[in-house]
Amino acid sequence: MCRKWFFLLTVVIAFFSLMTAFSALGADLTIYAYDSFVSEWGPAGRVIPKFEQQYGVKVELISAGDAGQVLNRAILEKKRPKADIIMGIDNNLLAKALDADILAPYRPPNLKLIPDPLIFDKTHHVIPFDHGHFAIVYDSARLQNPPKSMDDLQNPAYQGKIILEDPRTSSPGFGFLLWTIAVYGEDGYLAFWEKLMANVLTITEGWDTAYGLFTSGEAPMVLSYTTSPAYHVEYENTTRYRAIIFREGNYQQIEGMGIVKGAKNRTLAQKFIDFMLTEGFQVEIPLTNWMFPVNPAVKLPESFKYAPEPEKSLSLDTRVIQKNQDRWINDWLRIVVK
Amino acid sequence: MKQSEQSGGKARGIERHTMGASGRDTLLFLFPLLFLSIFFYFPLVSILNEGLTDESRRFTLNHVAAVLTDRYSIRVILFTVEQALISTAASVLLGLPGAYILARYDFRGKSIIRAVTTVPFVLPSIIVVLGFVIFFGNNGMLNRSLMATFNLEEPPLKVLYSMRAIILAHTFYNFPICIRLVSAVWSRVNPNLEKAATSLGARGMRLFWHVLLPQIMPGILAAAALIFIFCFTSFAVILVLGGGPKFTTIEVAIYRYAKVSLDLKAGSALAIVESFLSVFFMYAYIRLQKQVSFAEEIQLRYEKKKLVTILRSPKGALAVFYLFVTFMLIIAPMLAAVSYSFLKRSGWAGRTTFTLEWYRRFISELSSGALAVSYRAAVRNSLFFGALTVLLSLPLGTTIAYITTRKQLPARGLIEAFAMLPLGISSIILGLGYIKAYQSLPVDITGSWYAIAFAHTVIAYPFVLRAATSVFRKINPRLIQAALSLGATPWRAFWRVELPLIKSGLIAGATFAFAISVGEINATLMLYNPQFTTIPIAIYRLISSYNFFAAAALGTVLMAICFAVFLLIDKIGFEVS
Amino acid sequence: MSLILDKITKVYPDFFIDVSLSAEKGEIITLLGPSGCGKTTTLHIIVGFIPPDTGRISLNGRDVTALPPFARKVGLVFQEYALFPNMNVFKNIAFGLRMQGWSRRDTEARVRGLLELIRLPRYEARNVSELSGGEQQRIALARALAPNPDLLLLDEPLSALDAKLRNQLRSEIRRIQRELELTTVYVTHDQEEALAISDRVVVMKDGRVEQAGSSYEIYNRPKTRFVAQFVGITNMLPARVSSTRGGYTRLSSPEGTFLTNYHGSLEKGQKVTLLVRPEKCLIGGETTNENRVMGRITGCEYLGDSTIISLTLKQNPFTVKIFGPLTCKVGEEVRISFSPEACWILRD
Repeated sequence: MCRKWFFLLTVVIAFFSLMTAFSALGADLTIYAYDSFVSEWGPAGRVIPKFEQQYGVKVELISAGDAGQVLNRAILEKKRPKADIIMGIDNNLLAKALDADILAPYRPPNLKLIPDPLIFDKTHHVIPFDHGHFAIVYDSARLQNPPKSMDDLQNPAYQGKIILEDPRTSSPGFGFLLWTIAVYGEDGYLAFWEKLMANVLTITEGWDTAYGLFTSGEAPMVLSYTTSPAYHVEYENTTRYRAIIFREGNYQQIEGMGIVKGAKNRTLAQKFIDFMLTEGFQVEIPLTNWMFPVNPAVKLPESFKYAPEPEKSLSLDTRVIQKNQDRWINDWLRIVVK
Repeated sequence: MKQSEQSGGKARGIERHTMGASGRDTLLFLFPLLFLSIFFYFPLVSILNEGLTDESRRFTLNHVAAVLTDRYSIRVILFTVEQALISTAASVLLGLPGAYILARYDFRGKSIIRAVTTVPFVLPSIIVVLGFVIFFGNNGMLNRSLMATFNLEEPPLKVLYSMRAIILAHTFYNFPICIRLVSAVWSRVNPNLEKAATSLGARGMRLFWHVLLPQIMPGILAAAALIFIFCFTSFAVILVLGGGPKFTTIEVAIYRYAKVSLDLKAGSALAIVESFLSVFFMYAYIRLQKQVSFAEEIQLRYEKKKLVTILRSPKGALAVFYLFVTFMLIIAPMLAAVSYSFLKRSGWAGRTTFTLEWYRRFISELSSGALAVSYRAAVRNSLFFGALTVLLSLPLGTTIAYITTRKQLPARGLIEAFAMLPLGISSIILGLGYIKAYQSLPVDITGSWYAIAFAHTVIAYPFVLRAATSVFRKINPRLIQAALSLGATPWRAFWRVELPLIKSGLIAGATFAFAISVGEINATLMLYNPQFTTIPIAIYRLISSYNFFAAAALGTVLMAICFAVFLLIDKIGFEVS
Repeated sequence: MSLILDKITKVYPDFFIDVSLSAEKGEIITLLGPSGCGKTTTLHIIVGFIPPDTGRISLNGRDVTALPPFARKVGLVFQEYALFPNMNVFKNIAFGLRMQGWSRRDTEARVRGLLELIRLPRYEARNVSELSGGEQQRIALARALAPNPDLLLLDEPLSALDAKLRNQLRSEIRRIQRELELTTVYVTHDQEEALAISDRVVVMKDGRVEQAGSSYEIYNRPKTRFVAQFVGITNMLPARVSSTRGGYTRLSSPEGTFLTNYHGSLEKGQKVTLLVRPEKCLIGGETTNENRVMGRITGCEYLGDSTIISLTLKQNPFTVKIFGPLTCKVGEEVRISFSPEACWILRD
């Protein structure tokens, strides 16, 4: 009986080890990215094969959740990093990434392809690959009088009509919180939120859930990106969903990727970043990631005409975010759970 | 001097052997002790340490105090209790009529209804959530059919992502527990009591209130306690259906602290508070349960009437309606999930079409390997962890059961309590413990497959232990005495006589362990590494990306596995709880 | 001496055992006593399930006190048979042989031989749960006998069976035991069974041996009140010794004077109890018995083959058992008589 048990145990473990060993065979480069990048509608399916072909290598792309979870995983693995590149660190998460000291700086030779304002990390730990602006997107079929400014959002006419994301778990959510701080300052944003909460239907964990609720008619407004309407034009042939440009300005998001400190395949990782800045990579961004490419040479698709350009582009300084984000979130939490 | 021979004989019949004499005994004792120490108690102590010490490693209650005074934490704790209370009340109320019908009436298809009430015990919580979302969601089957039937613009039943959703999901998941536990007690109420009361003039409501209710109260309380514990420690339901910071429970908060803000101190402090509460509730439940199993000793049973006899009356119609609703509530969401697995939708608001694509994915991976969720890997991993859990928890649980029932030990009750402790500690906290305990080790254990396997083992083995203990106890001690008198050493007596007899209990325990491992999401979510995604985690990720169809496909596979497991348990006829 | 229990004691918080006894080779001794008297505990000490506090146990000259049960070579038969439910008849009987490592051929031969002995041939493949109580008990016996034990112990083996079956099996056990010349310790609370089956009876009370002796001795020459009352019905009359002349003991009591042929050393005037078994008395009619008293009938019980008559003498109750029926008239005064040989005396 004992023997049978031992036998079974060894068989199970051997079988499994074999199977996992196969899948991890010979990856030359390991990249951590967020879910939507890696999904079949995301850019991965187009850009990765290009890189693999060009350099004759094999890339292992692992999705670890959304951008925040990707960063957390990398931080957890700090002592023994598994990834060579982390993708999805935006201007808001930069502070956390720098604090955790998990990245190695690299200045790609073709960095000059990118307009300087988009280089949000002057220390070159994170290199940008796309950008956009957050916006409240609304369903014109359900809402006839959309708000025109952040202030308008407090209007009691919009009670229960807004879907937001949780800043602790979602990068748009965090972006929106920072947006309110950028508009009202540290002294005023909490009061804004107090009024706003009456109009919030629900705060979801991630963008996917929020947008899903939005498109299924749960509420007519959702926090999303200025590019969201373009998607519906491109694939559903409708201009029903529209993004709002606020009087006070919209908050900017720039997404980037960085090389992991202590990465095993540093040289290849550098090549990937170089590749990322070229048109070969950048041209896929609009229709798969639904953001604006950082390389201005790329021609935007027709549908992007429906992604409005903000009048004012807002953002907060990295150092300021780094110093205060914990306190901001705690204060925000207190208001929200009242 | 007045001892009856019988009782004296049984009590002293085969004196438990004192421990430690033979080498085999020490080995027997060491194996579970070592395993549990390393993979349960050490992590647990790490959390206590983390939450009760400050930076300079001095004991402090500051963190715990901070947790208890912070407005957010208070809100979280209160909400946890609040939703658990409401869910429990709703579940009990919804379940009582079912318990009545099951206890008093016989009808065709009764065994099916009874079997269906086992579902909550084996169904993983993520499936519950999936089925719920698919059936009751705003875009779900119920709403869509209502909208189509009544030509509505907006979904009439908006339940998702709110307190309502949580209560509903909990009630739907737990009311069968009430039916099962209370009907077991109800059917054993002495029928003569009711006859006596009726002969003295009591009828209807008064009969129920004064005579029946006190009799079935232990069952109701036990069911309520169990349901409360489930709702209190509910994780997947809250994670998915909760509407944000306002609707967070302690479990979810700990998860967030550990995985999102990487604040292990706060997480540990909160974990300590939760552990106290859940151990307390667990203890209350065990006490109540003892009363119920007392009742089960009674042999008298109700004479059941045939349901058809009252069909014509309004009472009967109500009963049938209730049974139908019950059945639908339990079965429909799962059927909805299965049907969804054959659909897909193009784009966010496009049309839904029939497809076998999701199932095709199990057979062939996309070549670039760039898939957010590898279905095949998820299934492979789940089965692997399930098998490992069974292989590890069987010896663990059986050994401990053997020691506690056959060996003379000081403070046996205490040892039993320690052995069963994993039941009272949430698996989120266990995961947190692993993260904390092993973060400073040179070996990177979190994110490894063995961490997940060990966590599953610790979570699952109490069920093996319970199954093995109950079967061990049922063995006639005379059989062992006979074997010993025929020349068998205690070890041989165990292998040749006891083990074959407890086989059915072991199989039941093993299938439980497998089902638990395959459906486990809490600890796994804390510990997993993208390479070792399991089916429940994949489902969760897919739900989060609003891809309900793919989630449904995986959910169907998981349900198929659980169904097979559940059939096995039913065949062995093991009484749950 | 095949079995010796030498000053075996065992103390429990509410109970204790203090027993010394012995059995010859091939003898059946029975431990007889009420519930709680310690007979099963004594049995368990002999098997080795319970270690004694003091004393020694020796089997066939070997001191086995320190040996565990599986090393003692004793066969045990339980009240509830305790057959292994997951094994068939063959496997049950062969279990002890398996433990000793017998070859397949030898095992088969032995099992077959035993099945013949217990008169259940060709039962090898049968499922034990299908067998009747009597059959199961015989299989249990065969199982205990298979590994050639030095001692056979039976713990109330027949109390789970109905009366007729009990009698049948009683003789069966006796027959088998005789055939094998196997020293046997039998435990029962049924005194009829004890008397019938034993070579010697050991009467126990409260953890101690009250009296050990042959069935005849136990029944007719009880040494204590307890033994007298436990085994069968007996009449007890308080009396005083009036004379011990000529080898006869005369007693005087409020009921009258009695002549007994008791030959113990008694003193004149000593307080004693006169014991007379009911079946040794006559009622009414002509009698040559020296001892006569008058009694009034208070009740009769007709048992088919006999009648038990309850009466009252001047001060004491009295029971008489006669063959056959009796027309019973409650309240009727009748004469009871018994011979000197029928008397037995207990010192107070």
